[in-house]
Amino acid sequence: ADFNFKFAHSQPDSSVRHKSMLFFKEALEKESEGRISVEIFSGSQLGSEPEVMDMVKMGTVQGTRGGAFTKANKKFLIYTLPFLYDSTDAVLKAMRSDFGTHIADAAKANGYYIPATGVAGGFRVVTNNKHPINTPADVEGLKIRTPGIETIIKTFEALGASPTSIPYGEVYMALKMGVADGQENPPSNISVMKFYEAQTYLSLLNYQIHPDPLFVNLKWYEGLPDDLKTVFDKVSKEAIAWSDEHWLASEADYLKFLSDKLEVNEISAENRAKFVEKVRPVWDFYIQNGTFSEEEVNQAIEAGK
Amino acid sequence: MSGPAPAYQVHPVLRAEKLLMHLLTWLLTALFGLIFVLVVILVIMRYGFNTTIIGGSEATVMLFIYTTALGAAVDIARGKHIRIDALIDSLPLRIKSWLEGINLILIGILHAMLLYYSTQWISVVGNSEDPVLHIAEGLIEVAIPIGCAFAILFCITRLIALIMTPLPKPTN
Amino acid sequence: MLLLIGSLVLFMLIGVPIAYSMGLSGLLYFLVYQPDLIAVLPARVYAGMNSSVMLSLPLFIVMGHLMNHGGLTGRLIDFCMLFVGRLRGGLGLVSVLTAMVFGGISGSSVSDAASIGQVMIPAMKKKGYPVRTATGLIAASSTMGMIIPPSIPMVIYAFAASESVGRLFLGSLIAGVMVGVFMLGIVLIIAHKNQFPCEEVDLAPAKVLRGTMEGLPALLMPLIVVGSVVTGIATATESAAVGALYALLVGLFVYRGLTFKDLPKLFGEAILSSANVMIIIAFSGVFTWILALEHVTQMIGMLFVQLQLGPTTAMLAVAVVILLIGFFVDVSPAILLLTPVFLPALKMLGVSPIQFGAVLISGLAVGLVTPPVGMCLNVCASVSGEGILSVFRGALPFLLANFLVVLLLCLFPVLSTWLPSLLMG
Ligand code: NA
Ligand code: NA
Repeated sequence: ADFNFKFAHSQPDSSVRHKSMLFFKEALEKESEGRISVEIFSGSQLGSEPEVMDMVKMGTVQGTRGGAFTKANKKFLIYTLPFLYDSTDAVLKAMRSDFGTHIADAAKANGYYIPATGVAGGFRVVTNNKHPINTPADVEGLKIRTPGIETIIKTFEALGASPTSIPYGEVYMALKMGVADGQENPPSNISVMKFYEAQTYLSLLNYQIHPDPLFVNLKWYEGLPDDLKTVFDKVSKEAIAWSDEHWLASEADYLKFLSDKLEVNEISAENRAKFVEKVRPVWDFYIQNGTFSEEEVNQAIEAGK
Repeated sequence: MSGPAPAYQVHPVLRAEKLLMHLLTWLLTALFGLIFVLVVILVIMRYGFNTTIIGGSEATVMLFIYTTALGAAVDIARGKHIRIDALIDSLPLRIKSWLEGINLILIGILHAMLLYYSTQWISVVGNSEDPVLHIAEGLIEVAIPIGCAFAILFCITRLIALIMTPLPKPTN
Repeated sequence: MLLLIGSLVLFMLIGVPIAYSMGLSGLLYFLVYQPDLIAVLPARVYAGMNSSVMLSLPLFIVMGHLMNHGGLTGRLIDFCMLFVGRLRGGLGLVSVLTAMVFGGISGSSVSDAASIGQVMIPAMKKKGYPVRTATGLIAASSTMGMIIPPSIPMVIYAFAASESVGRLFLGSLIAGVMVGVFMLGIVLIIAHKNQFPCEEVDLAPAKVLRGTMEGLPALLMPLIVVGSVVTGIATATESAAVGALYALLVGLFVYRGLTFKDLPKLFGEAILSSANVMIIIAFSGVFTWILALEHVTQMIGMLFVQLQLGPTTAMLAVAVVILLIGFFVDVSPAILLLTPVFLPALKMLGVSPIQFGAVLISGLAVGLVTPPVGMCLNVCASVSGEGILSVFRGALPFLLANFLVVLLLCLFPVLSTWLPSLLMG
């Protein structure tokens, strides 16, 4: 092949992300008529997500997907604002809109080309073993395990919970021992990690979703002839759409599985408005520190409608 | 690399080496003390007061990176790196001493290359902001070239010491 | 590939430190085959240092230092004397039992060998035990230090395998206890054959109570350290810090063997020992990156498939490699070399990373007592004044316990996986 595309990510071979990249490999090698070859490294073989992000920037590796999106552009955080979107359709619509392109293109300044952005799993929901969560008042005082992600910690602080950081692998035991009352994750993680065994209630807060951009080394992309650029863009968009579709479908299956194990409740539109109001300080925090502007937040919401 | 020869105390380069080693060891001890206190405080805050210092555990890891980069350099001066010495110890002293010299040169070259590529690497990715502490990651990454610089320095002083140490008489 | 492995072996043989041997062979590989990718060198070295799990390393080391200086060893030996001292071969049994309890407190075998050896080897000599047997027994029993949790090598494996430290700690607990029990049996047999003496132990209730009370602060240590990791109350790093704090307080105010003046030296030594291991981790990152880039793991997986090895036979074959490598390579570098090569291939065959970890750690522990590179051997030899080969021969009968345990761990995965899944889901 004339061009080699080394792609590294941190998820196992069984993940939707990996399978969607196999789809990408097959489609790209076929449609470029063998002029681009794709080599995939799964399971953090070449490094953790932030490390591989740096490798893509350096050009040691040509592409990656993962959670270290702020390394490309801090504005990606806008998609993770709590309660910004009320449906996954709205999120996808925003990501595929002109607004989405605007956010993706700003990463070029950092050396990344982003042909497509999707979602990394479904909406995040909250489980606990005290009581169902319907209103912000129900969250108050709960000890919730959170990952070390700033927007999540700030959200639970704003809701009056006490966020505890516990390594992912130790969460099951921590829930069982009552070190934490609850935790938040998408349904897939809750099922795979068997958190349901130590929890009673699952509340569909659907408060946050994470973006999953396809990061490509800008120089490598610019080195492609125009016809291959077109092919590359097309296949990238198809692969990410494939990923979105399968990821959200599998989340729905996991939720169905969990509904047999846990007492599941939805949040009414009326109560959701109370949550939106309560987490407003989290939005303001990022607007004030200049991560993005109020106007961009409004654009992000509009783009999803 | 044991048994300081008389030259060891006399030669100013080697006296400077010893002084620098002590300074670095002192600094490492202080850094580690700080890490220990920080980790303990974080645990106490979590269980005693249900709160945390955001970025506290990230900060401890950053200090830890510095202790490794500097500590490894000090270990070159102390000759304490883990190695397989079964073969080299069984060789005649003259050959052993030559090999030790070659080893120091190899280690020096490795660190020189690492120093060169790490400055390049930091200039490209170093301005990336840590998502929790909101400081440039380059401030931590620079521990690598700093450690390399000390390592090269100690390779040179060790080579000098090696050259100045007369071979013990074979009757030993 | 040949260049990478060949140059690594060459550099290691001529005495280049293991960390830099890995760095140099990686550098050589890049210069010859992949000059475009050489920029990854500093990134991999940095990635190896940038680990919150490994931060527990200096904390576990300082915890051990603080315990030893605080006056723990004497109390533990007195305590164990209460149980087995009166049996035939009493001092030998006490040595093994102390090593077992010590294993639950410290994270490293080498420090166990040093502190128990200093007391027990002279004591056994005085009672007429052959020096070779006494020294060998201490060396062999010290292997439990790294098998019974907490364990520094297990933390390194947890890092290399990206697995939960708590699960791995539980995974090797049964193995460590089995080593101890088998070794007690071997001592009993040898003691009866050679008519080793019994000890006179005053079992008056008051004495027993005092011995227990004095041992108690030390015996709480395993509960605090391992308990907090396993229950998820604390991360490995936090539990090591809390353990070190506890050891500090006990040493200063209960056992009173420590003074504030001792602290800077102990902390300085601990952080330098930590850097000594961390730099190997850092440079092994370069090495494993190349292994991944060259798809070596898949090749080994294919080899297992072609040889039609099932999980058990593959595990046995790998155990033999582990034992062989243990002769020549120190524990930490061996973990960092073997894990990326074998773990992914074994996983494909359905072997649990917990089982591999237990076999790896128990197998490499044997390497501490085998020449030419065996840290516990060195320590015990220097304490007793006996030659290394002689100590090794003295240790051999007791090492049977270790070999047996490694074999059982390979044959019965449940020995390592049962406890973690029972307690941690
Ligand atoms: Na231990
Ligand atoms: Na050995």
